[in-house]
Amino acid sequence: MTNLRDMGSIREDLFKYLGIRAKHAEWKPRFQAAGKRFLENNSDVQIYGVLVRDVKPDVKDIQKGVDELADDRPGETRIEFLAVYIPCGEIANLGDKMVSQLSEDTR
Amino acid sequence: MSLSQEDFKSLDAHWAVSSIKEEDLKRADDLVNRRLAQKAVGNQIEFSFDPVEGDDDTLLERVVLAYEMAAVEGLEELINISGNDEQLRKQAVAASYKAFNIYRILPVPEETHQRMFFVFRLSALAYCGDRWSDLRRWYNENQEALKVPSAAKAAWDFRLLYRLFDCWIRLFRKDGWDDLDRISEIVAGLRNDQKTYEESCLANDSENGTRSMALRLVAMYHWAKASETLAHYMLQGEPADIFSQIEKHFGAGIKAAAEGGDIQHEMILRWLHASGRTMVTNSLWWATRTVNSRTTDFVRSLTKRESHRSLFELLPPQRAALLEQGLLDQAKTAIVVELPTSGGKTLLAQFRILQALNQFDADGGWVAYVAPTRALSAQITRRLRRDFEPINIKVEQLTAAVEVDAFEEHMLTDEKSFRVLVATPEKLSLVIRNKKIERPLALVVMDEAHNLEEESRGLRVELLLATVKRDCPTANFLLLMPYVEDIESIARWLAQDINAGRAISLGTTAWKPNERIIGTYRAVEDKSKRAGWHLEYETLATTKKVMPLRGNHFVGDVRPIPSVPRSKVIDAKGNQAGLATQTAAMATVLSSRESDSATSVAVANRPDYAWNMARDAVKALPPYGTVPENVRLVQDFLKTEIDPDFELVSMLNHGVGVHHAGLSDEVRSLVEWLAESGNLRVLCATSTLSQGINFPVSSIFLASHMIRKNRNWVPMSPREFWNLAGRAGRIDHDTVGIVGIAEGTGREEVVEFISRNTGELVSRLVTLIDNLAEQGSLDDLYQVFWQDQWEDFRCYIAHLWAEKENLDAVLVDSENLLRQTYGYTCLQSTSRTEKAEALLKATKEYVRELANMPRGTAELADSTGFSPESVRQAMTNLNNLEERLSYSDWMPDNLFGDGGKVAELFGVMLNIKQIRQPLEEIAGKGFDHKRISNIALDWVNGERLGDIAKEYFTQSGDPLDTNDLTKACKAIYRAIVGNGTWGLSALRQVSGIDFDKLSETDRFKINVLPAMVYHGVRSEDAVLMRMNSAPRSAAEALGTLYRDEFNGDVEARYSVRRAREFLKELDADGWSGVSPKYAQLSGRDYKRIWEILSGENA
Repeated sequence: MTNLRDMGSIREDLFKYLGIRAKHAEWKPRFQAAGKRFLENNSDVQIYGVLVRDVKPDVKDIQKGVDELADDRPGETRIEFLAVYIPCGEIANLGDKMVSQLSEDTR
Repeated sequence: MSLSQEDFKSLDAHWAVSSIKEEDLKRADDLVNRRLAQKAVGNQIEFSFDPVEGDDDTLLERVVLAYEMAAVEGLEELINISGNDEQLRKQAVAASYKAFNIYRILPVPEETHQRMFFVFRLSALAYCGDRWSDLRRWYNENQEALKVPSAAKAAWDFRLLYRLFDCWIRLFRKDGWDDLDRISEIVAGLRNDQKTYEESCLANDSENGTRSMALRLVAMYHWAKASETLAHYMLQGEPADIFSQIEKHFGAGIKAAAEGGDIQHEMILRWLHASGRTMVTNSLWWATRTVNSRTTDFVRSLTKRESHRSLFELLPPQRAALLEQGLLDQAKTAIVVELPTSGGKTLLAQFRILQALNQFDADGGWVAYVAPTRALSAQITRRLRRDFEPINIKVEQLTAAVEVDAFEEHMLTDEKSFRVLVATPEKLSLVIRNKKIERPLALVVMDEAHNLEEESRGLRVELLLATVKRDCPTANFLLLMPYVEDIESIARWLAQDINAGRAISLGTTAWKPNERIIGTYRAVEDKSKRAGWHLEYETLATTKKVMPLRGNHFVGDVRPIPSVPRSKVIDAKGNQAGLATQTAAMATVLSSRESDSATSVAVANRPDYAWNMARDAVKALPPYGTVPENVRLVQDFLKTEIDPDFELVSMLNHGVGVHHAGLSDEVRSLVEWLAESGNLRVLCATSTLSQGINFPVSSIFLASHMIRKNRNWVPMSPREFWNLAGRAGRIDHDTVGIVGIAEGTGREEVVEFISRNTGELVSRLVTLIDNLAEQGSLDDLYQVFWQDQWEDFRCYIAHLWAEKENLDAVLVDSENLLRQTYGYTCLQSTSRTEKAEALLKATKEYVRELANMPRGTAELADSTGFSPESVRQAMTNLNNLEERLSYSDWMPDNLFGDGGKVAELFGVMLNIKQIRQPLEEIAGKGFDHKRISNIALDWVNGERLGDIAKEYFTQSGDPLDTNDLTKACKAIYRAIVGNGTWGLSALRQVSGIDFDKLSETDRFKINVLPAMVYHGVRSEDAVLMRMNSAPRSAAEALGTLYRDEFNGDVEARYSVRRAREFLKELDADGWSGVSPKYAQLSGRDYKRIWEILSGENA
């Protein structure tokens, strides 16, 4: 996330990568609107961090990252963290559960 | 798909591009141009542009990103075979074009990984934006960026990446067969390495890590396979299903990269896929895949050749002509191609030639390639031979003499001697009118066809085409010309059928051979030094043909030619002076560009000014530390063939050359060769250089835009100017070509001149008639028919008369005859019908005049190239000679020996209006014409040019002066070689002597006589050697050697080709044996000189 915040070239690569996928996507108008802003100012972005853990929730898990990313953050850049906690020891089964859920949905 | 200005306009409306303010886009363009200029000539020109506000780099990065986004959106359309969104495809190409424009001036990252991806991206943008020739130039200028990292200690995935980088540098660069051939070895090496390295690379701590590494490797394996397949196709034209093959591998690679979340690899694979596809469609193989096997052989030989850089790809205008605009459409009998200078028109002609030969194969059809000058004829012959002889297509060249000599006669009647014949318009006209070749003429290729509006020869060129249309009904036409608007009417005229003509106009496409800056320059007072001055270059933005830059810039140093004080370039009243000196100074300063092989050209409008410029350039340039071998070779040639003290010899020590019509073809060819081989810093020339001379130059400066025509000073036509200026900059080197004209005392006039449009091509016939109408003299057309400018037209009508010799039949056919001309067609199709009627009326009156001439006059006009009036003058004057000439007077030994009657013959020539002018200039005083005949005799008897100059053109006792040598060259090449040969040949034919009564040997000798004058030798065998580019100083001895070797082999004695083979096989010792005592050239040198001049093994 620090790289995403600090390195324009990475953000630009992502922008182009999304450009290919936006071609037939329903979110194309939103992408273009955001793209125009990005071309005006390549710090005008929102970065999302998602943390998935199977332990007891603790704010400290993300606090350090939040503090570090907040320092030197360009004014136009917004950064959001989302921490998802699932029952203890469940992360190893997460894949299997998703697959079985998907097959149930398609049945 | 060729880009137009509309495609760029549409791009401006794209959401990403339009999100950047218009003024910012313009500022980015300005910045690019400025940086390009700075990079190209920043050390020579101190640019002072108006400052622009803001952070330049940030702006450029934003703009390039917007263009890339527009390109990315259309990338699928470039990749997808069945893609049908043309608009989106054009968007992708135009956006890539623009993005590349910026990308190429951005700094290359130093970090290895970033550098490689920078090069990948830049190269892909270049290919997708149709700018591979610009990319090749960038590669030449940025060798460091192309360095392949060492894979010695790299992990397997990096090892793969480095090797793939190597493969793609080769694919983009295509520096010969081996460069591409190495790719299969690299990929084979990777297959071997896989066994050793793959396993450890996949031994990862986490399952996720292993999975993404496996996907990364899968992507790269497919990438490698696609690279190998592509390289194979570029080399061999196989597999035929190339698109589905690369689609398969790139598709699988992209899928694997996407599944592995590897954004960078996914994106670069998409770009390379699109680039690979473009590369295939650009390839010679693809463009010619459905044509005949002869073309396939031709393409194979082009890709494999070793003597010159292999050719794999078509330039965008070439591709457009072949694939989009139907150059090879067999239903089109007349094709006119308008292509900018350096656009690669010869290759297009070659494809059309092959098609025509194929079409007429059963009948042994032949192709005429018409080049305007002797030098260009020789140049094109070398090129065609080099490319066609490997596929067994014989190419021969006719000399520029206005007569068909005995050897040529033999060659033309021998069915197997050639399939392609290169000739000047005058010579081809003689061949066609006299039906010298029985086989069908399949195609006429006319190079520099815009000459048909030229004042002195335009009508001749137009009437040649008209004669071909009439006399050779099977002939197709291909006209090549630069900078002409509206060429459709010319195609329609030649095709005779509205559906059979095709105009291919490529001058307005976005592609440019290279960038160009244009401006004026002036001398400016500079008080920082005593008598100081410096040059100021004002860049102009008055035409779309160049980079729009504005400003006044300081060039070079104060007193760029140290020995020239201010007073020589700015007069006492403060006016500009010494424009030739200023021009030499500009060329000298710009000759120090980084690309050390660049030649800078200074153009004067007179040969003596060109010499003065060269003297100034010599003062400013230090001599070579060690004279390069090529320069030494040419110097020794000049010492041998001209004079040891010839001024050009010492000039070459400084890398300064001279090129104008007052030098022999051989000298000019060797000077061009020095420029081509990077051994000439400055070339001082006259505007003859604009006639299709194909050697590349980096900058061109003109002392004036005025040239001398028919003894008047007139502005150069815009087309002539751009044809010359268009040569500044080189396809493979020098991103920016610099063009300048000395401001003199008329800045506004020069600026206005530069901004003029090139416009449509106007028939010379129309111009002549329009001029008459303007003077209100249209009704008097027949009265002016006798003037010189109508000479060619009279010959044209005489040809019809010679064929029919029946007044009623010719009168009936007159209008049909006129309809064959472009001029008459134009007059008829516009509101100028009264002019067309006037022309028809005058033509009929002239036909009646012809009917009153003695029988046979028109035939003699056809066979001699003289007008009927000149034929009559010649007959009368020959009859009036004190002693009538007998056949023995015409025997070369008698004619050129003591008591020969050359002087009498020149006396007759001097009374023939059509040829007398250049002869008069050297005739001297007195009625015996001794001076001119002695010059001719000395020339034929092998005297060196320097000796002839000393004998006839210097004050007695004075050392040889360059001006005297120029006069001698002019006398020889213009008067003796040009008109003397023509006159002699014509007089022989009108002499009334029945040469058929002579033995074949004697007849042959007499028939070769004019050629002896043309080549400056005394024997038939020496003529044969000279026809094959042997230096004159060795020609007689070579001829003797040849005669001795082939004595008794009659066929060999007549065969130009056999003589060429003899010269080809002659080794250095053989050459040594034929060199004269005074020669400064060794046997090896002679051989090398011959190779260069003949184009054999050069």
